[in-house]
Amino acid sequence: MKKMKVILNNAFLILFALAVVSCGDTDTKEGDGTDIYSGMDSKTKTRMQQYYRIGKNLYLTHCSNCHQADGKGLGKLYPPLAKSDYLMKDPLRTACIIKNGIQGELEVNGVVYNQPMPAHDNLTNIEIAEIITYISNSWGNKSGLHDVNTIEKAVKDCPE
Amino acid sequence: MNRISIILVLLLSGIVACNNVADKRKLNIYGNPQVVEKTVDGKIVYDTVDHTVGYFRLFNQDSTVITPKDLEGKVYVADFFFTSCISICPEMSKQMLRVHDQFKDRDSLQLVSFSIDPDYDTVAVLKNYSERLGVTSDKWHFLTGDEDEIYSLAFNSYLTERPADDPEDENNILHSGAFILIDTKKRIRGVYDGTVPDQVDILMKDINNLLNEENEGNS
Repeated sequence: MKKMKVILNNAFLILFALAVVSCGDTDTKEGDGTDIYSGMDSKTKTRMQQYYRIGKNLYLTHCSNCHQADGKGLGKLYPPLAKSDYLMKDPLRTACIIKNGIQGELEVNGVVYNQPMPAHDNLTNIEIAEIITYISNSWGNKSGLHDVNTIEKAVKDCPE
Repeated sequence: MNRISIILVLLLSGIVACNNVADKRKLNIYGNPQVVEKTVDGKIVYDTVDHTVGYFRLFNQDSTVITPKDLEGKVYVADFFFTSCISICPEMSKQMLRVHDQFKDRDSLQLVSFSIDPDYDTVAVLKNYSERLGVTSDKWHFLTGDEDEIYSLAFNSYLTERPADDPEDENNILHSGAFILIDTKKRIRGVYDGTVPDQVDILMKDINNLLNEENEGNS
């Protein structure tokens, strides 16, 4: 009986600890379980992991103020990147937007946005490639690696 | 059995503690008080007067002229922002929106966002911005008008911004991202970092405390 009580006490202590711990905010989970590396050879996977990791840091520095860390955008001011039809239809098009900025209306997932985005011409092609790889493979998005060569070509052909 | 009830009380207090992080506290009054000379019954007396925010006459997003008279009897939160700012402003707007939503039904609280780029942020631009942000009520004024007037408010009334030491541009401002809590006597009662969610949580608790304080003062 005494032993039972000890166990009971411990259970309550754990519950108490849990109650206290649960005061803190829980971190938002990374990704939604999409395997972004599926079907990839190990060399490409390693390369993409590097792009992704650096891309995330660049995203948090240059993009997430407006588009938010969770990629959901803000109201009807800044469009979402998470599950964005506009981004995923042609991720390379977004490389041009990062580099040169954009003005005027832009429709994403059925909502028309119209907040100008400034050019980020201080970013290098490799940095843009890392950002594109990160945003097009996060929050449920999946589109594989976009390496620096692909981005370099895409950026050359950007519309004026 | 007794022991279990003690533990139960502990457990409950652990849960209650979550909702009581900042307990009821008396808010400070910020800014330098001034000593003023007054003549009462033919005698010169000195009195200490708290710092208060000054007069302004600006337009909101509905093209309505807003002066401190429109905020009379209200507690309000002020900040300085501009719509084309992509650094700290989106987060400030997001956090202010949290305050807006939290106090939607409290008419005694207002929100005032002064644009520090009023030439670009016309009434139409502010209207579009506020709607797209999701502001539906008339609780939140986005203000534009004379730049010098707004800068002077930022530097001398709300005290949170200061001129940037920029030889290229005399009319520059160091943008703080602060949220400033103002009471019905136009005094500054709190200053918070509007880019940090934890700080805005504290602001929202302080708003409740201040609204209670104002109610007690009136009764």
